Amino acid sequence: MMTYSRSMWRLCRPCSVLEDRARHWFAVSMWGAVALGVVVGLASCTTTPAVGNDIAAVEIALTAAERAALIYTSLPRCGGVATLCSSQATVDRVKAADQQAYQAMKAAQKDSGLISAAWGAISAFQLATPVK
Amino acid sequence: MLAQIIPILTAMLTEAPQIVALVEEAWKLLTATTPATVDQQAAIDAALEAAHKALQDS
Repeated sequence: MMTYSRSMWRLCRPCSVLEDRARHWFAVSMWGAVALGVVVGLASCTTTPAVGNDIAAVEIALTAAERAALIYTSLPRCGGVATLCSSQATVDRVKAADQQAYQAMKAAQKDSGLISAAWGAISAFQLATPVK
Repeated sequence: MLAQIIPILTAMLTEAPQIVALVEEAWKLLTATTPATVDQQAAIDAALEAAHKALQDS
């Protein structure tokens, strides 16, 4: 098996190494989104003494999901020379799911009985965001 | 290629710790026995509006 020293590897494949790192950090970011999914899932089972905090937690969960999705939607659109790219159709789906989650959160702000629906919409939004 | 990848890496490095911090914050609120302060709520509202606008504009 052929082996390379670290410096040789850098000289031979600098862009591949960077692409690997980019994919690694994309995966790290997506693990954050997965952790958020755990919070979303557990939230539906949790009863909180401070009811106002339920809405605040919904807002924060949605903020985190939006930031995770932004990493994908900020990639250059596929179809050009970019190897790391985002599909326009997927971006449109992500934005639509985000808008639905946002509206569900706004509805839950007015009526706390709609909190479960808001968590469900955030969960659907997360599922619409690609993880790789 | 480098010019294309570096901004993406920068965005990922910037966002990843913030996402983890937000998840922790959401969990703390869900398990808290005291309500968020007015200042905390205002900061939460502002962060959400900024993230929502950034995503919809992307």
